[in-house]
Amino acid sequence: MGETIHLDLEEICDHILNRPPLLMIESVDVIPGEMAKATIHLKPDDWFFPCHFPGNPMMPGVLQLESMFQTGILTVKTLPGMKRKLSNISKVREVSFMQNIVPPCDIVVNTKVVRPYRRGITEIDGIIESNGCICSKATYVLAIPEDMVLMK
Amino acid sequence: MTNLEKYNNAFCETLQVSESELNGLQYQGVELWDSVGHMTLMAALEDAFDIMMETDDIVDFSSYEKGKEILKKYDVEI
Repeated sequence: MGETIHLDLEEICDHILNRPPLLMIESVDVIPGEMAKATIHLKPDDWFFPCHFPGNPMMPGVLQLESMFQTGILTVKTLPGMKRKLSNISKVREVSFMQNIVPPCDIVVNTKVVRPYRRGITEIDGIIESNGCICSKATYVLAIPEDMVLMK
Repeated sequence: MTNLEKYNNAFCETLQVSESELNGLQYQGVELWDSVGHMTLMAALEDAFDIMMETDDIVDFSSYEKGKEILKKYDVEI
């Protein structure tokens, strides 16, 4: 297992293009090429809770996925020479939402590389937990078009 | 495992097809053989045979049968 590096908000912004309010993560521990883990502190006045839903706040599933994407991409963007390359989500599969995420709470976003980065592609398992319970899971494919070969 | 078994395994696992579907299979012929699936397949074959394919060969790798011809360049007989 490789060495863990810690990225603060400024360093995260140096690696990925997402910005508030859609930047979900503020600090991440990363083992390049292997895994990344972020803890997110959710508050009732976070921008998406008042509208999802009024009087019954819960974290939207799409933002849970976005949290996994942003955390997981750092496993690739922290590899040598990868920081400036643009990335896309190519596929999402096996998504499960098991438990509502209700503020205030802390959630832990754990991402693990299951197919190492090769030929512009990596596959990652993401899981979000809160208070020891699994809230959501997904497997997804990240693509770095610059490193892929374009077919005819 | 024979080279043919390794070759077929890469296709079947990457593209989620059965062996009976391999003959005549072409790029974009099944849902998972898109541009992303293609790169995943190339990586799987490179790992299986411990080779590194050239860009032109990756672009030309357009079918199950064509792939066998291409791998001969890398001394892989299927």
